[in-house]
Amino acid sequence: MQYLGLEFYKLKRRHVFLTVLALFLAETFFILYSAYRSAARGGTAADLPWENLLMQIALLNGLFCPFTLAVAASRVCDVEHKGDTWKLLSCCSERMSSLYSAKFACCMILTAAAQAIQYFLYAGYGFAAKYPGAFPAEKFLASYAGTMLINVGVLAVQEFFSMAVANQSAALVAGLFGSFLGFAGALFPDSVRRIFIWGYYTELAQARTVEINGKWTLAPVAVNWEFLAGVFIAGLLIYGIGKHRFAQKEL
Amino acid sequence: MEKAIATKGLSKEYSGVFRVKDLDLQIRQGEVYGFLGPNGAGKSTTMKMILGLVRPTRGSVELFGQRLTEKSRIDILRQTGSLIESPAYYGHLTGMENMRIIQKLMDLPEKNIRKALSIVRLDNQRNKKVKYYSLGMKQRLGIAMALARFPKLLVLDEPTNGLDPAGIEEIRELICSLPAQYGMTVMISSHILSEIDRMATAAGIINKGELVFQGSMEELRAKSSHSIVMRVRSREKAAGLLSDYSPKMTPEGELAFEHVSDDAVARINSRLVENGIPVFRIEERRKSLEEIFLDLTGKAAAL
Repeated sequence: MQYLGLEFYKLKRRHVFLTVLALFLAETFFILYSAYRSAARGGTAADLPWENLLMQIALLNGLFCPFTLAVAASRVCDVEHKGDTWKLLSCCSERMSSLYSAKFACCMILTAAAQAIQYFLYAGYGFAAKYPGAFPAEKFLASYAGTMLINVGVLAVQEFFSMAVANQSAALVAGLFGSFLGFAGALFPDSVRRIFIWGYYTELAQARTVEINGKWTLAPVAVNWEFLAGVFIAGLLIYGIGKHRFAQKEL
Repeated sequence: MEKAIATKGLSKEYSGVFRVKDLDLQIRQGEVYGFLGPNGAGKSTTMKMILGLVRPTRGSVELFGQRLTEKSRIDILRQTGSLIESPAYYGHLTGMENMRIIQKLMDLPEKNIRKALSIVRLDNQRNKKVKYYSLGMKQRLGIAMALARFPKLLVLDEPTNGLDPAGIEEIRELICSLPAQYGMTVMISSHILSEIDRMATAAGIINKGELVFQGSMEELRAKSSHSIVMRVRSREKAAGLLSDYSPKMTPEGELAFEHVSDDAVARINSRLVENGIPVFRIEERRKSLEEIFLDLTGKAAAL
């Protein structure tokens, strides 16, 4: 906890939370604008607006989450690269493995907080727009929790890059690559999309467009928690490898 | 007296080449130990091994009688402060905020960080962001961070780099005062002999990863024994005549005699004159510390 507190202290004047929040708010704007347009057009999206909203969230999370996580990890890790503080911290009794964990937790807290604000805004918009039917709290919670599980995997990859390479453009390129796969992955067959950790955000759509009697509508789809647990475990493995490798590194 | 640092056979190999080889350092408590060597001699690597930042290929390090291992490292380092290579800092934070990080990491009282900043004369600049500090100020901040814990052992790798002459003098005075004022042992590296000469009570000289001298500064200075140099006609004939004094031929065409008394010089002169060999000049030469350093490290080594 002491090291985690220090990580937040080091971010003073870096505006990391504001940067992360700004990126997620941009996503929120796109999603809500799209939901508004869909509702205005009428049809299925207007009949099932909550389901439509959750689907948009899943799709756009695939685009925004990988890059935003890359930015967060890069900003959090870069403070050490810039001042070459590794030796200083190591000589001040801070274990490198603890530093790795603290940075991971710090990034997760920042993104989880920013995304919690996002989900409140989505729900608030639904209520304000008087969406019909009961608020699907369970589905929203599943969407948020599932996103966090995938975030763990994606962040593990980003932290690995950001800690290993001083030049953060490499980590940001990895983030952009992840964003491409996260967004465009929806167009790939499931078997291809599921190879990549970034492709799982669309698993949280909880609805899919189907044709019934010549009419397009949204059919509910249950979240496959086994897949998400798999991504989470893969993330923990990548995190563990990165942490071990970093702790063994000579300074 | 208990050793502050003792290494045994300390070696580090990179890509099949030993950067440090079989180093047996002995640094006593309360000493200011100057660690000298040309650039690339292995000083920083040695210091990193002493602090556990780099794992030795072989050999061991003991600090205050405790063997440095992965497990014991954190406990042992609680007694040390260090500045390795360049000063480390968070540029977007102020000097005081940088010190706060050290305070929180090491769980230090407020007075320690204020005192450390005051010692390096940064208290007036403590609220300025470090990225706006000059190199010398960053160096001072690095020293303040190393001092914050008022450790038993201070390891400083070329701490006067980037300082102006006045700053160098201040740091020199500070380092000299640490053993008496705070009971610290200081290990300080440099490639500038005169700097070490004015600060250290003992020295180790490393060259190409090997220790070529270790001892007190008096022992090092004792190596600067004088020699008598004579310029004579027929140097070879004179050398034969004085073979019992083991003269050496200098590249400048002179005869050099080492460890000879004044009486012996008089006798040598008389013998030459009596044998019809004119003596043009007799002079005493003393090796400077720089010459000793160059002798020990090889003349080709860059200072």
